[in-house]
Parts: sequence; C-alpha cells; structure tokens
Amino acid sequence: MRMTETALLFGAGKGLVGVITDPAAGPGGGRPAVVLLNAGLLHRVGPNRLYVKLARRLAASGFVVMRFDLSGIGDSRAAVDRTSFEERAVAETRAALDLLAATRGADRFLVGGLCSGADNALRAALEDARIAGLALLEPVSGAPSAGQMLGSYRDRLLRPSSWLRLLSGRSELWSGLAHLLKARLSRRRRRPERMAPSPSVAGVAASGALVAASPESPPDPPPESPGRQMRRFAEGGGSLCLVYSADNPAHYHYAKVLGRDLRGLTEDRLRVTVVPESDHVFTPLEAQARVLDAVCAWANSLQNE
Amino acid sequence: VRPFFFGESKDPLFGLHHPPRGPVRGQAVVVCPPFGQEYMRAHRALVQLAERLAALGFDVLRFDYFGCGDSAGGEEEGRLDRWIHDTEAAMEEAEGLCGSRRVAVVGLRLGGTLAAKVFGGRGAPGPLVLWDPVRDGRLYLDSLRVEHDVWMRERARVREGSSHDPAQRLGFRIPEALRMQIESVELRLPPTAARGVLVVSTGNGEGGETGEETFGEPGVDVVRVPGPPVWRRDDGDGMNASLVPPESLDRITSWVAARCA
Repeated sequence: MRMTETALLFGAGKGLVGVITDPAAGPGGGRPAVVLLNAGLLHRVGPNRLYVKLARRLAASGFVVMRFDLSGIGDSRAAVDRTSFEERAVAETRAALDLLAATRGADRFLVGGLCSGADNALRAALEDARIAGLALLEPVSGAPSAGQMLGSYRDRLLRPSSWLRLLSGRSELWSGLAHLLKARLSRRRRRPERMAPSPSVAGVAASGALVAASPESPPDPPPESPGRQMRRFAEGGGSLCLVYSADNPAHYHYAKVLGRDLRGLTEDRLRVTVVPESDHVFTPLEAQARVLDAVCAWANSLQNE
Repeated sequence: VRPFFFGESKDPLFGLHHPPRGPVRGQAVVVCPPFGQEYMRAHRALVQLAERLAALGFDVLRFDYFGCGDSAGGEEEGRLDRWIHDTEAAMEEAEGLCGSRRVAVVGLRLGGTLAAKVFGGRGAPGPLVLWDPVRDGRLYLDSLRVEHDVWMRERARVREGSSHDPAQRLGFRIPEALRMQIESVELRLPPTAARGVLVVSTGNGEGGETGEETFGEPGVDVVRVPGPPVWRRDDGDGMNASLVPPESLDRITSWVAARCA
C-alpha cells in the first residue's frame, strides 16, 4: 500500500482547491490530522514545494495532511464578500477542519504554515478548540518596528555587500520600511472615521461592511499580542512548534519580544528551532531538511497524547 | 476550476481543468509550466492565462510534471524525457476534456521547450505558443547557477566553505541525470505545427532577445512583447511576487483564438 493523494474542491460555493494526503494505512490511529496554510501568495505546494514534502513525510508517519489555497490565492476562487482577509482565512481553515472531520473522522488537528500561514494558523487556533498544535514557521505577526529591523541589521552594517544591496534598493530593509509606512498611513486614514463617522461611513457600518465606532463608545482595548495569544493557546493545552530562520526579522522578534511571553513553557508545550544559513522561505535544501525534521519530530511527539 | 489527478495510477499527475465560459469552442489549450522556482513565481500569471483562455471558450488544462508541484514524485525523479511523456499525457487528457483532437499548447520557459519537443515528435497540428522558451540548456543552467549563488550569499547568508548540496538551484534540486538532459537542450521548432507557432519574447530570457534570427522559418510568428520576466521577479522575501503581465497574456490569448477560429 502507498500513500494516496486526492484533489478536491470544498468550502462555501466549492471554490477552494485542496489536496489531501492519506497515509498508506488509511486515516485513524489516534493521530491528529494536519492542515497547512498558504505562505503569502504562494500556492498550496508551499515555498520550494516544502508543503508537499512535509505532507508526504507526515503521511509516511501515519498523519492525514491537507494543503489548500485560501480564496483568491493559488487556484482558489476569489471571495466576493467583504469580510477581511484574516476573518476569511479563519473561516476557510475551519472549513478544511470540518471536511477532514466529516471524511476522515478527525477530531484533533495540527495547523501550520509559513509567514502569513503561521499567523492565520494562530488566529484559527484561538477560535477552534479542535486545534491541538501549531507549527508556526517564521511567524511575522507583531511585525518588527523600525528599531527592531535596524537592530537585526546591526551585524550586517559592517559588510560591504549589505551596503551595496541597500544602495541599489535590493535590501529587505526597504520593503520593511515601506511596509511600516503603509501601515502608518492606513492607520492615519482610518483615524478620522473613528473619531467622527460621516453619514456615509455610518451607513456602511449599518450594513455590516465596515465597523466604525461611534464617538461615545469607549476606546478599543489594546489587542492581545501574538506572544500572549500563543501563551494562552499553550496554557490551554495546545502545543507550539516554532521554526525560525536565523538572523531574519521574525527570529529577531522572537528573541526580543515573543520569547519573553513564552518563557517557562515546558518542552511538550513549546519547541523552538532556529535554522542557520537560511532566508525567510528556507530556500537552501539543508534548511528545508531542518524544517522538515523539526516539524515531523514535534508532530510525532504529540501523537501519543 | 476542477482539480484532479490523471495518468498512471501509481504515479498520478496533478491537473486543473478550467472549463470554458461563454460559447464553447470544443477546443482545448494545455499550459506547460516552467521548472522549479520559475514555476513558483509564474504560477499566478499562468492561472490568469488559463482564466482568459477559458473566458474565450477554451477548455484549459494546467498540470504539473512528475516530481513537480502537486504531482507524484520527489525531487530526485525529475527527467526531461519523463516530462515530455507527461506533456503528451496532458494533451491526451485535454482531448478527452474538449471532445476533439484540436489541442493547442502554451509553454513558458522550459515548458515551452518541452512543448516544442512534443509537437516535433507527435506531429500535432497546433497551434503552439512558446513564451520565452529555454533555447540553450547550458545558458539556462549557467544563469540559474548565477542567480542561485547570489541568493545563497545575499539572502540566505550562506557562509563560504559551508557544506551545501551543489546540485540545488533556488530551492529545488537538479539531479545529475536531469542536469545532463537539460545541458543538451537546443530548442528546435517543430516543422509540423500546421496551425502555426507563436514565439513570445519579452527579451528577458538568457541570451537576450528570441528573434527572427533564431526562428526564421515560415509559419513562425515571433513577437516582441516588452514585459516583466514573470518567472524571475522576487520581492525580497520570495513569497509575494506575483506579476501578471497583461500585454503578454493578451498577445497569447488573441493569437491562439485567431488561429483556432
């Protein structure tokens, strides 16, 4: 018997494209099912086909694994409603869990992804108690501030090649700063609406498409940081597998911020792997091997719980 | 779209059928993707290409070669002869989808080179579109190596002297047997494509412009379409580069539609 892969459509309007990898012995064996979420705009095979390799390796250990495209990414149809990307990502992830529950009898899940895939996995876990573990590769939520970005570049300031990249506009620093600027500008654009909603904004709010607070409502409570969210997940019985590319902004964020929130968690709740000599999407094959080893070892350690 | 697996049951290939919208032509287009990182980067452009062709009434089949994308097979198993066989299998599958033998093929980069090979061997009537095809295997491998070396040094910050698999190129492995096959690639246009060949050149392929000097044969339309190299662009983190070049897509879809009229 070999493992088998099935391609399918699911979700509202059957607009989402997914592939399920079933182990040779079929589903079951008490193992949780695994769901992998898009990394940025890359389609479901994952950066450098990492998700396909991961799915097949986990299936060889008896896990059912599903990779799929969120709406508007890869081969899935774009959504027509006006819900936010984050809300939709959670809803569509839960649709994948429902599908595996209905067709494979799964009742416990591990959800993973790289970059935005990691962020979406965390969001889903906070809303769906069936998610028992999170494999977060290069999670970027709580994007580093300009100071942190600069700090992560400290080591590189002395290298001529870094300066060449900076001056030629090829440095990631520029895209990082552009991202920060965009976030700052969009916050500024939103602010007047919050302070004094115009009739038109209020009208949109009434239709549920855009929520604008009235002048009398109390200020929003500060959002819970990703580190605290992860801690809450782990203290509620979940297990975290964090994988970072050394010297990249996400790892810097972990070292300076996230790690403090997660301090004291035991190994069955938190495993952290830092992969040297790698980029954000683990392009070197040696880095890919480290990621696969880390996630598979973690998943296998959970199956007997 | 409808995703499915086809081909031999022990080594299934992944396919995606974009059914025709609007008036059904009863003709199909097979899209042959590039290899490796070039495929990752060009994926969105190929989705858009397929959608536009489907909107013109074609059944469109996109697929992954063995050892690539969602298809069966690991990174050690990729071979050009196998991928030529896969392309033929995809064309047969497309014949089944549209109910006729009228199958056009659009291939990007190495996909174009493979498609030309299939047409040469099969005597398919076409039409055939080669979008910045790989013309010279050695040049292609050289330019991949240069891009890979820069990425490893600048992005992955791999230190000199680190032990790294020398067969890797931008996240994908090119095993020795495949490398030797690619090295001997020299693009030849099939003389049998009765319904014509379109070569789309954005001028971004290795070796520069794909021009009339290469493809002076009658029946071959060479168009220069200034446009971005959809297979090469990256945004710094390798994830959110999704160029969709409307000009290249328009030229391809309108030419295919005219040739299939």
